[in-house]
Amino acid sequence: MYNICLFLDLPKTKMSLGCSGRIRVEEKLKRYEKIEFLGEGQFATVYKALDTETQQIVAVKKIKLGSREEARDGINRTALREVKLLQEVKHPNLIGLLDVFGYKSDVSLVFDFMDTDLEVIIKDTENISVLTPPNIKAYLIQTLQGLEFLHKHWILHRDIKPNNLLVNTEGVLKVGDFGLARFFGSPNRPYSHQVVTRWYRCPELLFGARQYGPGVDTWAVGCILAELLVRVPYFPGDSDLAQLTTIFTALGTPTDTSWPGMETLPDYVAFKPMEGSAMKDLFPAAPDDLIELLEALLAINPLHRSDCTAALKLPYFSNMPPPTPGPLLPLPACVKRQAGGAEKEGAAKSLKRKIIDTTGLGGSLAKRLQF
Amino acid sequence: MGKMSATEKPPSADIQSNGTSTSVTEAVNPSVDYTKNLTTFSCARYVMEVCHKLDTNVLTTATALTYFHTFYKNVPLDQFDPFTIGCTCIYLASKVVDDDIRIRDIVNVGFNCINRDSPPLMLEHYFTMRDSITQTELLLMRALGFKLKIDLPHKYLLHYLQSLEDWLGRDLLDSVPVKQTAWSLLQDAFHDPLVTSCQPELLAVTCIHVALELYGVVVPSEVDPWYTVLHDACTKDRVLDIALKLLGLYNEEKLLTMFP
Repeated sequence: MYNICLFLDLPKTKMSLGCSGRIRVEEKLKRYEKIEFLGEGQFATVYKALDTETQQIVAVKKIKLGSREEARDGINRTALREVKLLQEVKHPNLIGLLDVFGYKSDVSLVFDFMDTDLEVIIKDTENISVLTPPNIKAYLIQTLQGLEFLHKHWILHRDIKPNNLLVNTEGVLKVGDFGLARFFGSPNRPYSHQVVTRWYRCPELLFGARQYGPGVDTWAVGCILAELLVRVPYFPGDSDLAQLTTIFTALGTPTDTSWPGMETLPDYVAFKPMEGSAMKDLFPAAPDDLIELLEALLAINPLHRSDCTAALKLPYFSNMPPPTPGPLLPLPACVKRQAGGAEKEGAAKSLKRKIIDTTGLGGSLAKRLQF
Repeated sequence: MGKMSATEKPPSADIQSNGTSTSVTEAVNPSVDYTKNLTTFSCARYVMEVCHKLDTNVLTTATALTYFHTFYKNVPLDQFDPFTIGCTCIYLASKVVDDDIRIRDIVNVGFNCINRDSPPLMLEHYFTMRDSITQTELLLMRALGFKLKIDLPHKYLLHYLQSLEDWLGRDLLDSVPVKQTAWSLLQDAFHDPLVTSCQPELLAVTCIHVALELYGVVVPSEVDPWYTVLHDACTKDRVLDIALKLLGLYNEEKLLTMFP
């Protein structure tokens, strides 16, 4: 009889997943030797592991199917998106999906192992007292190149933030966490506007736009560039309206002429006209070519915002000084110490913003998508 | 169902059966008891019917059926309940294509297409089925080797039709329903496991070729046959081979409804 009898006459028989001998999972389990626990998110737990076949250090992300509610809906869409999209794109500045395997009722994704991320680097002001202009240029080039590749393949990342820009000890930056990414370009499909962590969310999303493009990612890159310069989140709003106020206070309220059609956006609210400041006054220490890049990325009207390709062609990237070569980029204290042999996990954790910190600020709210 | 193309309609489509009046669609596509004749075709048709009743995106339907045929490539049909696998394929495909189909609807419609006149599911029964689908999903993903994104022939079909329209002129292509027929043929092709082995470009070309032949449209071309210009895979022999398989499907459909 059938292994799963459901629509026929034995509805209560549950299938056993161990039945398919062709899929040799046990070998996969042996292949990846767990080294240590790295962290836990809303949907997954991440382990550092050794790939015994290639002797490469990898990160194994085990998708949680534990809770009753989750199990009822099967594999969650976030994990599915990562699998679906990352199998299609390969680029040195995008996190590589090396393998996928299932065991019992778990699904595990195997990624390139990355030592740290840009959020840790930005926050580690004790150890990395200065991020030099060449450092910043190196991070920015890599981010934009990764994103340019994604956008050329009609994929929006939709969750660009320092925390998702992963960096390894070689100084290679890779864009990670594709849980919110999706294809764009179909005109008849409305998208959710509840994407991107609030501090990095662009004005059109805050006004509730359901149709948008690569500009949502480039705005976030602009915010990160500003954050690299001042070492604190540049637009830290604690509600959607406060977020808009913060942006408009700094950059000025858009008008009918600077952004025609903004009144037609679903959640549009009129703001008190504010002058704002010139980019030069906001970042007095920044050279002119950097100001030009900031203006291109942080244009309030999405149609005036540069795409990654155009941004990479700006003089900033060809002018002196050249970007720092990868291995010379600064590393946060926790990673350095680990490389030296002593492993202190605590340091890495304390530098991360706690999940609790961000829950009230849209950190986890943005993850809940409804289509 | 309306999935099988219009050209294959029996001539007396609106006859009455059993003395009671039935709708035209009922007469063209009489409801089938899928449990009575378990073949790949009938099971694929079950998936088609569920998809059609759920009004899924064509890409979801095609993806689901590609999953289904890939799954049963290595496994005999009677080893896993094909209806559960079928519904799971639809559920997984809807997630991958970002087509918002609720699992509740899949369970209810899926159940009803097997147990045609039964009352709606009771709670306990419903949740057991729902759990089965979510658990089978993992098995399905593993059987597919986590290759979830399918390179479907639909986009190639549209591009080739566009080229053909530019070549033959709009008036000619609008005078006969070549485009619609090619599209229907393509959707019908997903009844057959050939969709897992046939290159998407080749399948798209074959559908156009058959549609043109049906309406007697000749494509003037210096190369013979004309479609070889479109893709390297499209040789005359291969297209004819796939065309025969495609047309053979319509005989299978007749067999299915002959003994309800």
